[in-house]
Amino acid sequence: MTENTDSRQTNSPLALFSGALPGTLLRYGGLALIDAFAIWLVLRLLDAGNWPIAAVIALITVGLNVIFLNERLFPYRWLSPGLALMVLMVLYPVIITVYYAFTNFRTGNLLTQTQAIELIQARPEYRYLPEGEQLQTFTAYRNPDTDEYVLWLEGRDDSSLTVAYETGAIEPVTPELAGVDGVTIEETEDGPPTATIEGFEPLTTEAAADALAGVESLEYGHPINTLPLTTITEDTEAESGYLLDPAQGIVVDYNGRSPVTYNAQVFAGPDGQYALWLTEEDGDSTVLARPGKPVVLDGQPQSIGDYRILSNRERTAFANDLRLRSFGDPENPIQVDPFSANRAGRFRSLFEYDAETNRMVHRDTGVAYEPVDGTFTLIPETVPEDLDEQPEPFLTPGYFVVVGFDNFVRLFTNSGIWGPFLTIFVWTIIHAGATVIITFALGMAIALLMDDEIIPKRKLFRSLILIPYTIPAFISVVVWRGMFDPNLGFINDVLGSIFGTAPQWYGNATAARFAILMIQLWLGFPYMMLIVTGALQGIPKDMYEAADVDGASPWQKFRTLTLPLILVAVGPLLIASFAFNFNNFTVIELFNNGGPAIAGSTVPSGHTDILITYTYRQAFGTQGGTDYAFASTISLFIFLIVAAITIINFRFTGQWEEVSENV
Amino acid sequence: MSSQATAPAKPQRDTSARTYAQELRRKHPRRLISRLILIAITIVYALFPVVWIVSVSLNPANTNVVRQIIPANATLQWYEQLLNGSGFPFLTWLWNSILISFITMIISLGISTFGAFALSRFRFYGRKTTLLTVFLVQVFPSSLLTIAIFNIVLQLGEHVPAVGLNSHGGAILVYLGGALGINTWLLKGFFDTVPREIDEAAIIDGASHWVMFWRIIFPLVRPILAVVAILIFIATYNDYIIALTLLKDTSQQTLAVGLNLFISDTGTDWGLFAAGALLGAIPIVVLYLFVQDYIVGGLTSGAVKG
Repeated sequence: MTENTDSRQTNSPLALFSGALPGTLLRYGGLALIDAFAIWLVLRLLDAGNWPIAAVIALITVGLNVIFLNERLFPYRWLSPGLALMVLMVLYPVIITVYYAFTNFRTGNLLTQTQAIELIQARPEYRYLPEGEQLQTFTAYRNPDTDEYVLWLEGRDDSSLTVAYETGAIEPVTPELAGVDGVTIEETEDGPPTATIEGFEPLTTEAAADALAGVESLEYGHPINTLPLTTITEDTEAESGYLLDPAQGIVVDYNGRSPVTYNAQVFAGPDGQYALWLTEEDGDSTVLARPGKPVVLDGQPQSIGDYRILSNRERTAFANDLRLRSFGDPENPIQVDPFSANRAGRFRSLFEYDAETNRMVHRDTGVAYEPVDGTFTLIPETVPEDLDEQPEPFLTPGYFVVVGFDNFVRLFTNSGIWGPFLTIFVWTIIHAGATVIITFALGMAIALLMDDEIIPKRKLFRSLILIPYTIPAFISVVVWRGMFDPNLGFINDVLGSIFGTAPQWYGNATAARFAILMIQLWLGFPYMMLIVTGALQGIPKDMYEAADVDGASPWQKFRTLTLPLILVAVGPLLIASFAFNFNNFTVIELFNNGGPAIAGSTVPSGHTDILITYTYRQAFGTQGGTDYAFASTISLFIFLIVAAITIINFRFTGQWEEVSENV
Repeated sequence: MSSQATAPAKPQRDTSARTYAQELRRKHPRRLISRLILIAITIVYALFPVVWIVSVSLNPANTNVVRQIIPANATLQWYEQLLNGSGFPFLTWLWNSILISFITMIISLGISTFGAFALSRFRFYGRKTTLLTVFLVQVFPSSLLTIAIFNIVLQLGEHVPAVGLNSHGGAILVYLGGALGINTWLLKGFFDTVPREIDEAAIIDGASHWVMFWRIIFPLVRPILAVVAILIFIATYNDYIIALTLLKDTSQQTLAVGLNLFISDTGTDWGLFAAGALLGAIPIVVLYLFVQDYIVGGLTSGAVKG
């Protein structure tokens, strides 16, 4: 019972010469690398508020260090990778599942308190404009690659244009940024404004028509903001985009609902480049298009660097997204007015967190909210009597806290949960029990049938019969789904032609349960055949000879001799099979997702759901949200039952004694 | 190892058994025929869904209606589509399944073998507790822990994307959580059959534990390691619930999750499904038939089918 039977490698003189030094280096080097990685990861996890998993990783790392630095613990070095993974992926999950069962960990309460407070304070609905702050009209630009925005902000007077970035910078608008550097625009008394562009010569209509005769299209703006102009030729029939007719000196914009006609002034620049100055025929719109520069529409550039102005459609699509962004100084950011599509200002959150009292306080009215089960809830006493509007009862989102036995109380007292749960619980046990019984019965019958030396090619036949067990369940269950299809399936085809009628395998609860047992029978009987065959090989033949002498009938021999002996041999495997089918997620989920649904249930539940699929549905199944806490509560029941099965199995086989004696 | 001594006697018994069987067949033709009929019925029952798959996969009508075993104008078009692009990344799924199962198999086998070696060869404080723990791990398979596992992988993945949601690394890490389980227990049993005198002699000769493991124990247990490796591969390949929970991107999914998409609420591509089912099942069926004799002995305790 001590270590002396195995001398340690370092004690052996030969080991010293056979690479003990590189081994040691490797060990310490590897350990140092693991430690460095673990420290980095633990710090990051703590920073994100995930202290439980940080603690587990720290614990595992400390354990590894102890094992590898203490020579006496050398046997654990061989076990350490497995033990580490077991702690992380089995022990810790078991503990955290139990923990979740006593919390409110579900949609609406998935965050830490700090994260929840931040989100409440960032909510556009809870925003107000403090006194002295002004709203500014804005235009938003978006970089499609980085999903970042900039705001083009107009001050109270037109001269104070600024651009505010999400990265924090605020810049005054320069002519370069606005795309009008080197351009002079002059108002005229009785006509549209005229433009002169540095380095470009204005062309007369005739000259422009000559120059553009062979040009099919002109492209302007930043690559992401092209303004393709198509020159109109005689065979151009399509009317889309901007069409330029140099001969008439007009551009027609077909992008909008109705075409807009512009008078076009064409400019010729160096290297055969052209610029355009467009003035709306019946309005005030102007367009300036120069190669290599943003297109300027009504004095506003259509792109700023890699940011592109939002189209009408994008303005609607990104409106909510834009409301969540902050621009300029992070301490006092510019945000979009939640109630207006084109105004922004330096808003503040209505709610201030008071760390001392752990309350959220309304800055204006003094109304306070205190946490109740992870949600900031209105304190009625703090509502002033002269308040016009009734304040909101809760602030969302909430956060994640321990709520004691709430989930259990909900399970046992809510009839919309308790009723379906009982149905599911009973079916889980019936399903597992019936599966074991029918597969065992058929498997044993076939094993007994095959246990006769008169049959040739037994190994081949056995292999063929084994095939249902070998096909992955994720395939065979879907195949059965196809065959059980009430309208087109093979089974109802056959039943229909024999009886003229066939059950609705998916709509009817009893039929669905029967179908599942039929699938289980097919999936499981070969395994039972195999293990009964194994058991039969262990039954001594002379026992039957003795029974023959006593004149026992075959049935008597089976009942008093064969069956008990088989049961003793395969008993533990039957219990293991029960435990496996108790949690056979694949079959139920892939056949019919636990359907048909139980009417009147508060949470998603179906007539063929077993506990594990029911649990899974609460955690991952619904589109609207997730309820990890309640799912974990149900998991505890599964844990208890599985543990009970294991204890029974231990008793049955005396495996624990085996473990004890082995030491 | 000691059973080898009795091996030479076996052929003789086999010969006599064969003559005995022939004798039986001659004497009881009725019994022979009745047994063969019953076996034929069983085989038909066992294989008709397989016939269904083959038939559907050859049917150009893309339907789950089966009226003839070999459909009129049978076609290989579904197989061609699967391999040449069907709108579903079937080959990616198959590759993902094989890759994840293979990596899990290798690492898990290493963990199990090292663990079993330590538990079998060394006597140390805490050994009994470790043995019990190893045995109890299988009580809580990862399929019961999906909620916790999903959140663990989610949190880890925020910092180490290689083991996060939608990553194969995350799934493999979860599968490896149970590596020190029933297989270790099983291997320890086989290691125990190698007499300890052998390694004591090796230690006296100055061999390190590593040399002892690699040169002496490992070669002796290689055949059983192959069986355990196959069982791990199959169990991982067949997993549905963990892959469903962790792998959300179509391109990251395994066959177990992906194949089901052929027959979802939106699509009923029975032809493609059947072709994929056949291609996906064949490797596993073949592997299983290799190891069926070990299942007879109850080696797997019913826990391998996932």
